[in-house]
Amino acid sequence: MIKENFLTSCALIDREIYLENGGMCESIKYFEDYDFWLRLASNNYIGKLLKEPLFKYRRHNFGLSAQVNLNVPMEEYMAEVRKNNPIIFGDLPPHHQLSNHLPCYKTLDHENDIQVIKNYSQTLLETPFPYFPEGFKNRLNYISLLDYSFFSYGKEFFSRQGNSTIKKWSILYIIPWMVMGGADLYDLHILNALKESGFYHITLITVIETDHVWKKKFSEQVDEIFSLPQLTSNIKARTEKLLDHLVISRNIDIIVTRSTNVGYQFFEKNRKIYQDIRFVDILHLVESENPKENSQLGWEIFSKDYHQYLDKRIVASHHLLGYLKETQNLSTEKVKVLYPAVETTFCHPYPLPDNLKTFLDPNSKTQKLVLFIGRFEEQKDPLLWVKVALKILTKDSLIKFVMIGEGWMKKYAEHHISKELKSNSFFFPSLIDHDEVFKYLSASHALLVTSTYEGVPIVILEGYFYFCYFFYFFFDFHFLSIINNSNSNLYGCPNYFNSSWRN
Amino acid sequence: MGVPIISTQVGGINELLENSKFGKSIPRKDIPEDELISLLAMETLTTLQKRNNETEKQLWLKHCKNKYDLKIFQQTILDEFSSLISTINQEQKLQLNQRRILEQFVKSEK
Repeated sequence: MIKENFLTSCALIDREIYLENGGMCESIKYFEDYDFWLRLASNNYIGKLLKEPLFKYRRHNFGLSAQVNLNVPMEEYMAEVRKNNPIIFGDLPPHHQLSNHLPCYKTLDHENDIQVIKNYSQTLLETPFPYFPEGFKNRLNYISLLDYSFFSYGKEFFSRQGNSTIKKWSILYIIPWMVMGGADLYDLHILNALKESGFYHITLITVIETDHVWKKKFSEQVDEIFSLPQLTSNIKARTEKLLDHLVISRNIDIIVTRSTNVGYQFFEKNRKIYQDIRFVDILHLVESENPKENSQLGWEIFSKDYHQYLDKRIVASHHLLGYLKETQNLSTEKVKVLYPAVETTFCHPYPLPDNLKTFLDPNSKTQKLVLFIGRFEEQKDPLLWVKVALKILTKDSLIKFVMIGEGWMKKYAEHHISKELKSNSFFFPSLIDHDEVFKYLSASHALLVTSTYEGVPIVILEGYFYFCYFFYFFFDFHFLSIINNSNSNLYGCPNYFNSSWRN
Repeated sequence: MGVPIISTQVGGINELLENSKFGKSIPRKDIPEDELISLLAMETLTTLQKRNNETEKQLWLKHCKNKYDLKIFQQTILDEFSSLISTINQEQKLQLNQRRILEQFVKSEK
């Protein structure tokens, strides 16, 4: 009886006993008879089977039984039944016998997966989103957790797991954001290494708002992606439940997080529980130059509180490691310095990109091109370089500037340039794919990089490697670095917007 | 002519600077914005015309390849993950997972 309802609707029962035991519960849509039989069994009533066909049972497509949605987990229908029968279901068997007694709890299987995610998804729909970017008014157009994550990847995962004879180690990789940036490329290189090895199944968690060409790149490197509302604020009960679910159902071996509150807090809460899961943190930047004045700013500072829960911390440069040692007094036993890397096979000459052919003067042998690559956001400080570029143009009007990237500051940059009547000297391609960067590097004579607090920017390394093959005999390498010793992340950017930039 | 990489970067850039012995650092603090812009413009123009010692550059490129090559990076990642995995007791973990499933079930029933 615990395993399944083998009685049918033809049971003959004394009316008094039926009434004494409350009859069939009208609030239960399905399995109300099962619920009743279980209650009878709980009260020690014993039934008897007559091995003789005494009635006919006809099924048709409009009957209630035919309407049972097979996609809904059995547990959903059973919840009320279990609740009404604590004597039967209250005392669960020991966990090692669980699979024998309760088939639906044998493992967290496909159906259970849908249910957990459905619950989560429902919460998403009920929660107001302050996170949607400008222009995304209708959130129904957005990819929901359920649609995007599970049906795209989940089914495939389970079917593949079922047929696979190779045991794969399972990784849960949490990243807060996917943009076209160095930190994300760092992640991509790690994920690619793990994927290429063939020994890892990777579940990636990121945020819903992520809607970028690189999402495709990430999806190529991992087995499944889950998109949550956000990962940088405090962990919520629902998020924790979903993470918990993924950890168990995927039999996760390693959890990797990069700059996420949610990840760190999950480590803290689960360090003791999941003793045989390894927790890894990836840190690639220094966000605060003056921790005393700004003690809560920056992931490197925030994450130090969680250092004790980590098994491994990967940092992007020795500078960052030194910084952690000096300012945070962290033990470095768990820390591994791993520089960003460059795909050197890309480093070969490219023809001039088509859109540069019209921008540059083909007859000029002395014309130089200066390149800026980065998001038009505070972190990259593009407006500083616009001002510098305008200053340079007063000395050498032949120099041309290409500024690649998108962001809310772009319109201010363009406005200021047009106001100075220098639009002919600037070219603003939109976002380009990472592979395209090399074409622009090939065409440029100088590269301006203004990331205020990252580790070693990959694009600089690419520049180095690229030039070494192409410009080796013609050009040199030279750095000009401006150290930001103020505790502000913005190099005076707020000042820009108090003045003419706003206009 | 030259191929300067001009940056206001901190952190890793300084590390590259120290390792490569190319270029120079200018502390940004206390420099008024107008002066900073002039300085950057001037340095950009100057460095566009500089040439470097090619022997020194060759050494730097060798250093780069040993340190920043993607294959080395990815192999190191795999080594790190392998060493982590070698410390995991799978059987114990699976038992724990089962227990967690049970706990979740009991919690949801309540």
